[in-house]
This record gives sequence, structure tokens and C-alpha cells, in this order.
Amino acid sequence: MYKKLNLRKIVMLLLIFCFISFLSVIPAFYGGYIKFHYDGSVHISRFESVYMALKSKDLPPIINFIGFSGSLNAYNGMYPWLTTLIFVFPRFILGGNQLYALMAGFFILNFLTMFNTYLLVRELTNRSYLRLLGVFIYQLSTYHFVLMYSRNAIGEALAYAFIPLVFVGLYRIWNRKEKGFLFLGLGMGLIINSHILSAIMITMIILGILIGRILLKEITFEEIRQYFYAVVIAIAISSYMLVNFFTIYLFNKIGTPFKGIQGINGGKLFEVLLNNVITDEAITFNIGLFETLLLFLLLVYAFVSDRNIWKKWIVGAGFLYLITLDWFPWHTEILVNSPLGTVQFLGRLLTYVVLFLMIGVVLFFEHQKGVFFSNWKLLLVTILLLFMGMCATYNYHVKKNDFFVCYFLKTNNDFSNVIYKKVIGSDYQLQTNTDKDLPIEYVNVNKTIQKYDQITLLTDSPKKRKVKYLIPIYEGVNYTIIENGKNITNEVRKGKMLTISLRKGHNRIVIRSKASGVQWTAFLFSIVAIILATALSMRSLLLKHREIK
Amino acid sequence: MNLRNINYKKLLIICILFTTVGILSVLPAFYGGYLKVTFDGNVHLSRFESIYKAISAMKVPSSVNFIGFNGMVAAYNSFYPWLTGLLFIMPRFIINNQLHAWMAGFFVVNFLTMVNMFILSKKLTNNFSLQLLGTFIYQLSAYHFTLLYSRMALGEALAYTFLPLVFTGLLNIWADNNIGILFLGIGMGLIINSHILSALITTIILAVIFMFRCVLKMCSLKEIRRYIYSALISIITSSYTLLSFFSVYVNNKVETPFHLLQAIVASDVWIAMLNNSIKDTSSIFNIGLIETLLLVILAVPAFISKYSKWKLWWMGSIGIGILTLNWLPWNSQYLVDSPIGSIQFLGRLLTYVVLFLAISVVMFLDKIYGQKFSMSNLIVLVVPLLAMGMCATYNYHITKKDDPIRFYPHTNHDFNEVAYHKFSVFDYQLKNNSGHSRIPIKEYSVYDTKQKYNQISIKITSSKARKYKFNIPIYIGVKYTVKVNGVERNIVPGRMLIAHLREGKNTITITSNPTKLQSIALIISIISIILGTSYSFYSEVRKSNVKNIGAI
Repeated sequence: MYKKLNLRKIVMLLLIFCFISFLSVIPAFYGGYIKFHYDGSVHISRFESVYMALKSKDLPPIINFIGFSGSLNAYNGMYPWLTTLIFVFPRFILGGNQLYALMAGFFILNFLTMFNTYLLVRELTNRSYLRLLGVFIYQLSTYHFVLMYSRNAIGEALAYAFIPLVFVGLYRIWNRKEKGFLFLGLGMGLIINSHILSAIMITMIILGILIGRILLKEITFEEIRQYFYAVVIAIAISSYMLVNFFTIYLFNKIGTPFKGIQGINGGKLFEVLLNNVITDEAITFNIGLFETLLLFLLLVYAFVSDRNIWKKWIVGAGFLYLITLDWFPWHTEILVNSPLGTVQFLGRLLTYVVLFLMIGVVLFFEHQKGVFFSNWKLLLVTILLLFMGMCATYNYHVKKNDFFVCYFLKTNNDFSNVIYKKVIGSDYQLQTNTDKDLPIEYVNVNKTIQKYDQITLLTDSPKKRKVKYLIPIYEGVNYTIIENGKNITNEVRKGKMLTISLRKGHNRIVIRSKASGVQWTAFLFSIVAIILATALSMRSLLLKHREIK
Repeated sequence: MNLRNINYKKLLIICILFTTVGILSVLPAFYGGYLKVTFDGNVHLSRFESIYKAISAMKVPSSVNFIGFNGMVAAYNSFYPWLTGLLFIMPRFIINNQLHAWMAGFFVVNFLTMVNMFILSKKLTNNFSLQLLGTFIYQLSAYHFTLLYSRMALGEALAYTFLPLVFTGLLNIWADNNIGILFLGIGMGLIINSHILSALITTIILAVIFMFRCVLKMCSLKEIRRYIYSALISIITSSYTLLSFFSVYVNNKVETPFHLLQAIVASDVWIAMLNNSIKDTSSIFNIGLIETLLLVILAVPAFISKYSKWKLWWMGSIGIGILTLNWLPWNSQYLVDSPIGSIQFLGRLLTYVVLFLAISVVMFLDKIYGQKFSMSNLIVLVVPLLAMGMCATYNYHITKKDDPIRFYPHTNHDFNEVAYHKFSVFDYQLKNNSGHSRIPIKEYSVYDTKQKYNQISIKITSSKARKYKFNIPIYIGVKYTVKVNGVERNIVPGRMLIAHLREGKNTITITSNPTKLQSIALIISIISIILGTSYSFYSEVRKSNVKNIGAI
């Protein structure tokens, strides 16, 4: 019942993936540093607090005590961190060198992206060269490099790595193959554990596809049952994340990240495509010149040739590409204030453009008559894509002074300095705040002692007074607050900014929070679910195909 | 020798066609009766003037230039090959008006470019229309006009003219024809006699192609032997240039031209192509909108069809094209300081992009259309190319003062003024000229000099009697006679000229004549070029027994 494994082929594949991962990572670390701007600094702060917690064999609390200028925002609660473990674990192995750990993390990320994409292309074609073409179109897209290096959007980059799994699941379900729900659930669960917005967007896209299927009357009852199973698995896998998220979200009025619908500027896009530039500006996000041309040519071909299955995907990719452009009045107030506004940058849709393009290209070569694909072409395309991605990354990497806030991190010291002293916390603030007349006491990061589960604030006050810290005290989170050795937890009102009466002279305020029992349970449940789902889905790959009913 | 075998009718058609296109390619650059001369053009005006004067006096030109270059007597004649520049110089012996002579020179160069490319195209296809298409893609490329008129890089333009011969030779050698040895040798020899850097780049490209052939096991010992014969021929034909070059280069520490790796900025070049501009800004050198589109669109058949030989040339073309772009981090100091940095402008590689594009287009169309490709197809492609080239040249020509250094010579007097008196670059300076820092440098005006092809007299007034240093390098290995106020003085070679002046008016006269060896080498070069070209042209013109060797 198990398939015969072609070990030589598997080893070759893994070697190729390793090699390409390696090449995708080095330009961003050339010269022994990484270029990070604000978003990158947020992520390394998050990593640090997870790392420190795991080091103490503890679960990170819902509040971040490390970084974010001591503003104790609920990044751990609101921003999923479970899949970022691929960036955190290497630190335990690589003797604590953070630069190397980050490098290893990016390596794993790229490898995972290719591995998952390979699982998807396996569903589309049996030809090895074509499978690799698909993998490389997705992996070596300029937008992937944009996500990782110029946007530093690590959460989204992780989601990018797991999105192919979702489509493995969908493809299996649509083609009545076994265990589709498993892949769909695993993929969705991991995306929820990586980036909430990506999870919402992919849900919308799947809903869009489903509506299409309903209209075309392709949907079956069996299919719906499979979706249902998948949802259950996804919830199980992301239970820890969901518990965290809803603890904060339901009990508190949270300032969500800013709303905006920033389209891609057509003229600017053309310029950066031609110059092969990656930047952090949302109006210039792009999938690269070659993939844009490829999409364009295939759209033309789709228009002039007969009906074929690759066309849906190409048209889908083309449609999504089109709506990312600022040709449409995206910036109108109504749209921005609507739920659509949470997308912020329409360029985020490029992930799906690349994915659909990749699927379309593979199906094109698989099913279109009169076109040929060979190993030489694969080599050529791969080299070109790799060349463009590496050059764009390198050129971005060596450019200085293109950001107001930009760090060139080399040593552990550089990392610590940024993590503990530089990152500004601004997201997930409480929106209710009544004590308007109280003076604000700003936290001076140099007078704090930051640990993963507690922070000590040292303040000198010229006189006895009541002050307000810009520190949200969330409802539903257990805090222990000690002022000058006295436990004042019960005096502090929740759901507001921290207000405290300072005495004259030195003050020492300790704020502590630990992961709750519910969190622990959910965490263990999530981990077990991920391991089980991964193991089962991997096992199903080794089984001979069987159709369901 | 059977001259009756020649197809005179076809030959006549070709001559008329090439003459017409040649004239049309030249006219816009002379519209209004003047030539727009750039910074680089100034160099060529001065160089050619000194060659012209020497030949007028029936003498071999000196190793150093006494005419032009601010009277600084630099070794342009040695370092910058001039032999093929005779195409621009010879008309002056027939036409007295310099403007008209230049016009004739440009015409000859354009005509020869077409002839050479036609010879190459004949190796690629039997279809006459396609042969002409290849010729015109090469001749009417925007980059050809850039070279000729806006960059006025006449050395490179001459190399552009002879480059097709090199590939004619290669194709013949690969097809096991011995005539290839002659074409390759003559082609390379003529390129060396035109522009050293182009010769180097061509050699590197040939080496890369050779390596590919070795890797693909297409290379035979016989082939290598033929390459060696070709190298011998090219050395013989360029013996004068090589001798002049190395006799100065080996003996002196000479400043090489500045290092730079200016890539083409993709977004700027796109705008330039849309506007059909051939401005001499190195970041926008381009092969023209039509040819760029052709190059890009060929990607579609290249990608979806099965293996075919035209794809190799197309890949060469687009590969080199990509290398010229700012996608690579060319501006990193490490690369600029390396030997690659002597390329200066990566746009220079466009010559090869155009050539390979022309080859691949001809082979591609030959494969898919064969004889079906007709004259009307040709006209549809060529007329827009010609129109765009002429318009771009005209627009460049009538734009004045687009750079601080521009000349618009009209009369013979204007031309002489530029050639003799205008400032131009001073390359090939001696490196160790820092010695004798206590001796002051004596400046002199170029208007106080009397410049001949082998001699310069400088009138200098000194306020007191003392030693002065002059911005005149005295190269080792070049014979000089220096007279101060009529008395011959000994000079120390290998550094700047130092002379003792008396109070009041002084006259310094510097004379230099070529060595016997140079004269002999020049005669060898000229005879071998005449023999080589006439034999290879004869072999082309006669109806060959060897049929078209097909797409290699």
C-alpha cells in the first residue's frame, strides 16, 4: 500500500532546494549584516521574547515585556508567533549568534516554501522539470524577496510558505483524492499561526472560488463535508493562537492597525520592474519583470486560444494583478473605512498573483498542445529568476540611507540594542482611556529591566503624584503589579492605561504576567495537532492514491 | 579565375541598394551643412588631421601627435589605432572641402558595414530578402547611429564595420571551410587596427563561445589549428598598430583611460527608446525601439518551441543585453577597480547585442518562413528602421548646446580650428610625472604653437632665465629632437619635458619621426590588408561552388 520511494530523486530534490535556499539568503547577509527597518525590528523583538521564554522552559506571556519601549503591548497575543519558531530554534543550536540564527531561519523559510510548493505542483503534473519550474516561479518571485528582505514582513513570508499547502488540500478535494481536508486544515492552521490578515485574505479568496464553483454547479456535498473537516483541523492547530487573540480582542477595545488601501502605482511599478528594484514602498511592490511579462503573454495567449484548464488560473492571477493597481479609486473614504481597509497595501494580493500564475504556467505546459518544455528551459528560467532576485536583494541590501529608521545589524550587541531600546510599540493600544487630565509618565527604556515575563520600571519623581503610563492593562490578562515592593495588583483598574501614585524620589514598579493554564492547555493542544496533522499528511504522500467514493 | 561566373545583375542591385541606404544614413548628420562634433569627435578630428598631413607629405605619421590636443604632444597615434581611420581620411585627397570629405568618409563606412554584414548574412540563409534583412538590422540599428554621430566613437564604429567579418570567419570555420581562416584573421586584424578595446571585448566573446563549444564537445583540433592561423593573419595585418602600441606601452608607465562601469538604466533607456533618442548619455545607449521589441518578442518562440540553433544566438544577444543593464550591482567599487572596469560604458556591448540579434532573426525567419519571406516583408521591417534611425540622427543633429563641449564646424577653417586649437581629452599621460616638483610648470597657449604632422614649435615668453617643466610627456622608445631657440638640447625620456629658457622670447621646437621598423610594419600591414581583403572579397563575389553552409 506504500509507494516505492525513489530515494535518489528525493535526495536530489532536497539538495536543489537547499542550494536555491542558500542562494536566496546570502545576498541579504552579504558583508555580515542584515538590513532591517522598523518592521524587522518588531519581529526580532518578538523573537527575543519567545526565545527568552523558551530558554526558561516557559511559555511567553500574552504581553511583550521585551522591546517596544516598555509599552507592554499584546504583540504575543495579537500577532501569531508559533511558526516563527523556525527563526527562534536556530538560536539554541547556533550558540546564540543572532545573525546566524536569522540566516538559518531565512534558510528554513525558503526551504519550507519550496517544499510546500513542490507538494502543490505534484498535484498538477508528473513531469519533474515542470514541477521544479512551478516551485521556482513561486520561490524566486521578486515579491517573495520583497516580503522577506525589503518589507521584513516575516509573518506574511511565513504565510507565503504555507499557502501552497492550502491549495494542495483544495486540489485534492476537487479531484476527489484522499486526505485533501488534512492538507487544507494544516495549511490554514499554520497560516493562522503566522499572520492573521493573510488568514483572512486567503479565506476570502477561497470563498470567492467556492462561489464560483457553486455558480458553475461543480460543488458536491462530499466537498462541503471535507471543508468542514478542514475547518476543524485548522481550529485545532491554531487553538493556542485563537485563545490568545480572542482573550485580548473580545474583552478589550483594541486600536487595530491603521486602515488604508494603498494601490500599486502603475507608472512607478513599470519603472521598478525595469530597474529590478525592491523597496519597502507599498506603491512599488512587484512580482518581477519576468513574471509580469509571463503573466501578460499568457493572458494574451489565453485570449486567442481554445478553452483549457490553465486559463482560469491565469485569468485569476491577471484579475488580482489588475485590482492591485491604483487605477481604481481605492483611496475613497468609504472603501478605506470599510473592512476592506484592513488590507492596507493591495500589493499584499501579489502573493496570490504569484501562486495562481505558477499554477497556470505549470498547467499551461502540461495541457496546452504545441508547447514544449525541457530541462534547458528550466535551467534558463531558474537562472534568470534567481539572478534577478539575488541582484535585487543585493542592491537593496547595500543601499544605505533609504529609510528614516534603518538598522544594519551585525553583532549580538547590535541586535540587543535594537530589541531592548529602539523598537517603538504602537499597535494594539487600548482605545478606552478616561483619565485625560493625569500627567503622562513616559517610560525611559534605559531605566527598565526587561525580562520575558516581567518588566521593572525605575522612575524618579520630584514629588508625590498620580501619573498615567502609556501602558495598557488589558482585561482578561493576569497581571502582577508591584510598586516599591508592595503588591498593588488589585488597585489597578483593568481596561485602561496604567495609573499609579508615585512617591517622591526613587520608584520601582514591577509588572509581571504569566501564561495562564488555559493558554498552556491550548498551546500543548496546538503543538500536538500540528505534529499529528503534519505526520498524517506526510504519510498520505507515501500512500498510493485512492479516490474517495 | 572565372569572372563570368559573377552574377552582375545581383551585384548591381546590391550596390545601388547599399549606396542609397548609405547616403540616407549619412544625410541627416550633415543637414544644414555642418557636422555636430562631440568631445570624442574632437579627438578624432585632431588624430585624422595629423595622419592626413603626414600622408600628404608622403611620410609615415609620428608616434606622437603634434596636431591638436592643446599642443601637449601625447601618443594618440601609438595608442589609438588609425589605420582603418583612413576610410575617413582618404576622401580628403579627392575632396577639398573637409565637410564633404567627412560626409564621404561616413558614407564609405556605412557602405562597408552593409557589405560586411551582407557577407555574413549570406552564410545564414539562401533567401535574398532575409540576407538584406540581416544587413539592415545591423546597419540601421539605433546603436550604429549612436556610435557614428552622437557618440562619434569612430574607432568603435569602424570595429562595428568589421565585426561581421569575424563571425563570417567563425561560421566558415565551424562548417569546415578554410576560407574562414582568412575572414576571421582579416576581421580581427581590422578591428585591432580600429579600436583596441573593441578587439579585447571581441576576443573575450570569442573565448566564451569557444569555451561553450568545448563544453558541448563541438570543438576539434582542426578548428583550433585554424584559429591559430587566423590569429597569425590578424597579427600580420595589425603589425603596425601592435608595434606602435607596444613600443610605447612596454617602455613607459602610461595612465590608462579612467575606470568606470556605467550600466544602462533600464527605466531611462525605455523612455529614451520611446522618444527615439540617441543622445550620448551612457546610461541610455540603446539599439532602438523596434529592435528591442524584436529581441524581447523572440522570447516567445524561443520559449515554447523545440531546440533550434537560432536560439543560441538569441540567448547570446539577450544575455549580453541583460548584462548591460543596471540589474547587476555594477557600481560596486570592487568591480570597477577590476580589469572589467576598463569597459567604462556597458552600453558598448550593444554592438554584440545587435549583431547576435541580426543573426538570430535571420536564422529564425529562415527556419519558419524560408523562401516565403518576401521583399514586401522586408520593406515593412526596414523602412521603419531607416525612418527611426534618420529621425533620431536628425533630432540629435539639430539639438544644439546639449552638452558644454560641442562644435558645429562648417567651413574648412572651422574644422581646422577644432582640430588644431580646441581642448580635448588628454589620455596616455605618463604616470611618474611628479618628480622635479621644484621646477615650475610653464603653461602656454595653443595659439602660440605652430603644429605640423611631425613637429611643434612653441613660442614662449619667460620673465627670467630658468628651468621650466612642460606638460609634454617624453615617452621612452620614441625618437625626439628638441631644439630650444634653434639649439638642439638633450632631453631625459620617461618624464615631462624640462627645458632651460632665457629671458624674453623663446622658441621650442619638438620633432619626432617614426622609426624604420614602424615604416616596414606599416607596409606589411597595408599589403597584407589589401591582399587579404581582395582575396576574401573575390571568394565572396564569385559564384561559390560551396553552397550556403546553412544555419550554423
